[in-house]
Amino acid sequence: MTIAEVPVNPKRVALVIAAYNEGSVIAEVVRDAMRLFPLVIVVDDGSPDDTGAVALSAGAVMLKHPINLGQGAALQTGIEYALGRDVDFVVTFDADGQHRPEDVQKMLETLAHNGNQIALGSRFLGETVGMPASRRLLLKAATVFTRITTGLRVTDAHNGLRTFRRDAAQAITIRQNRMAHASEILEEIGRMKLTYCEVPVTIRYTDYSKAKGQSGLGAFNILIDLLVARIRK
Amino acid sequence: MIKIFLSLLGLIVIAYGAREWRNSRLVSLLLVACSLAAGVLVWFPAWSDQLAHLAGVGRGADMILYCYSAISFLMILNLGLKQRDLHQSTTRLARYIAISNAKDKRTP
Repeated sequence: MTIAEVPVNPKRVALVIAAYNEGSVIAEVVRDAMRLFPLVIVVDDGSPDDTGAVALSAGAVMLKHPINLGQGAALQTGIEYALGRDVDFVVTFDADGQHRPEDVQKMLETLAHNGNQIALGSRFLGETVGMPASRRLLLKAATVFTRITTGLRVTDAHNGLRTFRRDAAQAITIRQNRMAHASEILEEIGRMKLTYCEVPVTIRYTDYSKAKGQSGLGAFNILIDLLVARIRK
Repeated sequence: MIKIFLSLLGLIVIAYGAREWRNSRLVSLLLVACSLAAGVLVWFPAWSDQLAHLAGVGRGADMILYCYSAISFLMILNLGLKQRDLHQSTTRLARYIAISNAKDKRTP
């Protein structure tokens, strides 16, 4: 299906990309996304390299955190900025080239057809290219944990490719600055009973993305962050 | 004399715990409960010996020491939570700066 047949106006879609030290790949990711979606918002999360400048040159709207805060904080910044613009949908999209803009089209079509508020990408319903076995095991364990803690019947708990209808993006506030935001978003969806669906997507693992991905220690940090957030109140 | 001194310290921790109710109910409740338990054990050492035997600790004085340890851990946890709050304030400030200074080549 071409973009002309998509029932959603791509000019009213904002792609939010949180980026930290992605200067070597961000231009390609932005240009690839802008083939289909003109509004790409890159939040440079205090990178010491030239990520922000490169993203701006590639055509993205660029926001820069003065200090490094984490992916969750950067996404919330981008979402808040996007909601200040005239958009109907906000998409979270990874900076390392793992995601395909065509999958965003597919998610928008799905939302337009089923009327849900949120489409979550699922690599386990779709395809993965070059995913290491250890990463698969870690993600499966995280999914089981998320299904238990949120009650959501998801198949992929830590997929960064998500499409929110405007009202859903307004309803959710990401407070987990670091990687626990993925679980937090699902918790919020369950708590507020937002309607969601999963859409099969393709995730492409490269040496670059594998080097930047989550480790077992990262998963432990996520657990601690979620636990502390529960003690808070 | 030492009982009065320890009780005064316990009262300060209880007051602090009560003040923290707004921030973390769990920490607040545990701080007040541990301080009250320590206070009771200071004033009624016979109970502390009985409790110590029940808990398999040995000496009643050790029970008071354990209460003190629990209070210390809770204080450290509370400091961690406060640091998290501070970090959230920093995040809001950084977000405000980032959004205020958004750069878009397509608009002047």
